[in-house]
Parts: sequence; structure tokens; C-alpha cells
Amino acid sequence: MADCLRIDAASKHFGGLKAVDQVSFTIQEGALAALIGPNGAGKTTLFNLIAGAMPLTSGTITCYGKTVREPRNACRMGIARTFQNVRLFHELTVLENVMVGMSGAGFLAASLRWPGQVQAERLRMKRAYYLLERVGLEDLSAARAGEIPFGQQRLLEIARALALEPKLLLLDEPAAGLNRTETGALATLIRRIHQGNITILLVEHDMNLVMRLVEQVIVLDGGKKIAEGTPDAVRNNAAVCAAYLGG
Amino acid sequence: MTSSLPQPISPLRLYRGPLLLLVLIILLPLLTLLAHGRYGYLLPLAQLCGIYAIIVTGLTLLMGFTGQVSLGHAGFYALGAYTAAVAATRCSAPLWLAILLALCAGALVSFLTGYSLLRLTGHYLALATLCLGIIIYGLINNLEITGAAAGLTDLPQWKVFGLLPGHPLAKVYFIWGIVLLVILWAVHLSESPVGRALRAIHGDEVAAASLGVNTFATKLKVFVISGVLAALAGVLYAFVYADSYLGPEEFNLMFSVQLLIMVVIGGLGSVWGGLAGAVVLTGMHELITLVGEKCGSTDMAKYEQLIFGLILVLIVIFSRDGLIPGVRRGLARLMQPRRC
Repeated sequence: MADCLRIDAASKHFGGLKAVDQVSFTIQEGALAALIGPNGAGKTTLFNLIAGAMPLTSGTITCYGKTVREPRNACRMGIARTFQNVRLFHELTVLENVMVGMSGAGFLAASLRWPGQVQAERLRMKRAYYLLERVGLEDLSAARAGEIPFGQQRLLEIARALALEPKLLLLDEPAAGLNRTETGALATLIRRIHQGNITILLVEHDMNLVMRLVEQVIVLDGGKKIAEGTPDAVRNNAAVCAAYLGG
Repeated sequence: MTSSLPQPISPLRLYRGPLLLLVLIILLPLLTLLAHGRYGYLLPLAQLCGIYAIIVTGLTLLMGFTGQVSLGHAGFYALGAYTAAVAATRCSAPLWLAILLALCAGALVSFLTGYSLLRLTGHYLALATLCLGIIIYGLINNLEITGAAAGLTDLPQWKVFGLLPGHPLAKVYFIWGIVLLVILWAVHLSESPVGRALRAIHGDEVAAASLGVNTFATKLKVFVISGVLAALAGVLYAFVYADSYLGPEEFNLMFSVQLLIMVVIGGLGSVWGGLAGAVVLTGMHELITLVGEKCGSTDMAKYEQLIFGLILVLIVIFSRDGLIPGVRRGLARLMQPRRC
């Protein structure tokens, strides 16, 4: 199995604050991994670094051997992400939200509306609709994204990320704000996406979900990696217990 | 399957607006002929409406769709008008060259300013572009080559297809023909992946970038296109509307604000909103005077500001998203069967 994501001594400093400090790990192709840690451990910062949303202070992050530089570049390399605070396009319909990530016509072709374009648009709509079916939102396709319930907004973000046909999917706290039923459905969905040959890395606070779902856990605390391994190994790790219980 | 597969917008729905506009453009000016020239003074006003509609359509894409507020487009408008006029009078350039130069100047200046200013967002962008408008107005109002406050005289006229040179009706058709093309283009763009990307940038730039949208380049393109459209409107003002004289008073700061109001009162989200805003705001003055005359008052004009302010307040209270969406909702309510 090839390495999907390789993080090598990655650091991100904000002034004197070392939000991410010399973190290294690799995620194998086809893995389902989780990044956990107490609040302020640097999980989301590390996520932003992987998605190219901000530059590294030092170290390297590569996806299939290529360096991630900025969001668009990460996106072309097959990295798709969701956001901790759902960031949908509220004024667009659910279907349109999914279609934003699908590449389409440029300015000139769009201005003249070449004959082939309507057909291409129909195909995009079909694909978007199929993705909505996968997350169970097809009945809401015409609703405005800002008007659907929060739990479904989270699912929509996942469908939107899948539209990029990613190799690596980054899910930033996908279960935050969901109730127990919704979380259960989410776990099933994540497993299904994973079976569709997509490597998944998620940040999650819901330990139940993490322990049930993933095969590899990386624990951050104070910007440093303090443990890595299977859920069981991590659960019994002294440093991890100390970090969570404040020992 | 529970619900049917979504389909792209049908050509009928896409083109019914532009078709209606085409019919109106052909018929409305003819009415003035039927009235034996009694309302002939409305023809120049119609020309001005068309010129503003061109700028506002570009601005609707920039502000309403992409969410980038510009208060500097009066500057690009002035730039187009003055580049064309200076080239034609001072340098005796042929008409086509003057027009081409004006459009290039609009593109170049909007590219340079957009490239440096579009890194700003929100109020900062609005203020920076406002400065641009002030600078350009300051230049044309003071430079010798633009005739300073006295303006330029002896401008050539853009003969409309060589037909009826200078006839107000021909001018109306010419300008509104261009408006129709611009609207058609904007309608195409708004119903395309590009339009979707623009609205996505408006909604959440970070999310759009994470989905592979090149946000900066897209914003810059829309900025330049709207700048060129404003320059085109300037050319039409100088060579078609203006009667051989071009002065700086048309391009002052207030005009930038007026443009903003036109974009906003019509309704930010649609191309038609911009068009309606341009027509309503430009026509308001004449309408008020006309109504005043009918009511036997000769100095209705002094209430213009008052009436205009009242209309703005009413729009803000009853239809915050603009005139067109408000009218649409009102119609929908009327069509609905009453519940008993």
C-alpha cells in the first residue's frame, strides 16, 4: 500500500504560540484514521495545513509525494475537506452547493452558451443528484442550503466534498452538533464512503464514534503528537489518559 | 425514485426575459412617434437609462453575484468617455480607434486596480474603489488635456449604421440594442457554472477556494468585465448621447453612489433587478415632473428628493431584497387562491 498522506515534522507557529509542533505521521492509502486530542491541541490547525489553507512554518506535508501549497492545489491533488463550523453557500440550493466543486465552463464558453454546455450541465446535475442520494438528501435538492436542518447541512458538506472525487477526505468534526441517531447514520455513511476507496482522516471529539469507526488514531496535545496506534492501544496509553484527564 | 431528476433551465424560461425586453425596446420608443412627438423629450432620457443599465448590469454581477462592492465605477465610466473624447478631438483619431482605445483603457485600469484592490474585502474594498473614483474625477476636472471644468467640445457623433444620423429614436435603438446584448450575456453567465462560482464566492470565499474555485482570478475577471462595460457606457455617453459636448459634472462622486443605489433597489440577486433599478432611478425625475404638471404644480422638482427618499424607505421596509423580488412576491400572493 502506498502512503496517501505523509506529514513530516510539520510545525505552525502563530507568534510565540506553537499550534502545531514537529508533528509527523503517515496515513496509508485506504486508511480510516482519526485525529483526536483535547481542545486547543492543534487538530484543526493541522487540518488547515493539510488542506493548504495556511502555509507551514516548517516541515513538509505531501499527498502521494506532491507538496500541498494552497487550497486549490490541494483540491487538484485529490484532497477534499469539510469544515468544523459548517460553511455552506446558504443562498444556493442544495444541488447547486454540490455542483460548485465540479469544474465547468470558463467565462467565454459560459457567455456564449455553447450548445454542448446544456448537456454538460445536465450531466453535472445528474452526478450531483446521485451524490445527494448517497447521503440521503435527494428530496431536498431544490431547497436553499441555508434553510435545511443543521444535521443535514453536515451531510451536504460531505456530499459537496465528494463531488471533487477525492482520494483523501478530511472531515472536521463531522458529528459535532448531531444527536445520537444522526451520529449513527453518519458512522454508516463514513464507512460506506471508505469502502468506496477513499482514504479518510477525521477530527472528532465523539470518542464513541472514533473508537467504533477507525483503525488508526493519532493523538495531539499542545501541538505535539503524543500517541499513535489502534483505538485500543491509544485508549490504554498513559500519556493520552493524562492529557484528557489533566494529569 | 421519490423525486425526479433535476433538469437545467429550459430555453423558454432562460430567454423569455430577454425576448420581452426586445419587444419593449422595439415598441416603447415608437409610442412617442404615435404621440406626434409630444413626448419626444423622453427619448434622450431613454438613451441615458440604457447607458446606465449597461454599467449597472456589470455592477450587478460584481456586487450582487460576487459580493464585491465597488464605488469606483463612475471612474471607469469617466475614463471611457474621456479617453474616447480626447483621442477623437485632441489626437484626431478615427472613431473606431477612439472607441477601441477607450475600451482598452477601461480594461487596463480596471485590471491594475482590481489586481491590487481585490485583496481587500467589504468596507475596505468599497473605500479603496471610492478613492479610485475620486482620483479619476479629480483628474478630468483639472487636467488641461481633458479641458478641465470647461470640458471638451466638438465631439464626433457615432453615426448609427449611417442611418438617421443623430435622430434621437435611432440613438435609443442603438443604445438599447447594446443593452440587450449585455443583458443576454449576463443572463447566460448567471445560469452557468461561472454564475454559480460567483455566488459561491459571495456566500463563502474560503469554502469556494476549498472546492477548487480560483477566487481571486474569478473576482478579477468580473471586475475587469464590469470596468470595460462602464467604459463602453462612457463611450456611448460621449459619442451617442452627448451633443458634441462632454463635461466632468456627469462623473462626480454622487454618481458612484447613484449607481450603487440602482444596483441595490432593483434587487441584488438578479440581472433584471439591476436593469429595473437603472430605469426607475433615471426615470424618477421625469416621472415626478410629469405627475406634477398633470396635477397643476410647476415646481414638483423640489419634492423630488423627498419622494425619492420615501421610496427608498418603503423598499427597505417592505422589500429589503429589492424591487424585483418584492414585486414577484406580491404577484405570487395575488395569484394564490384565498384561504377561507
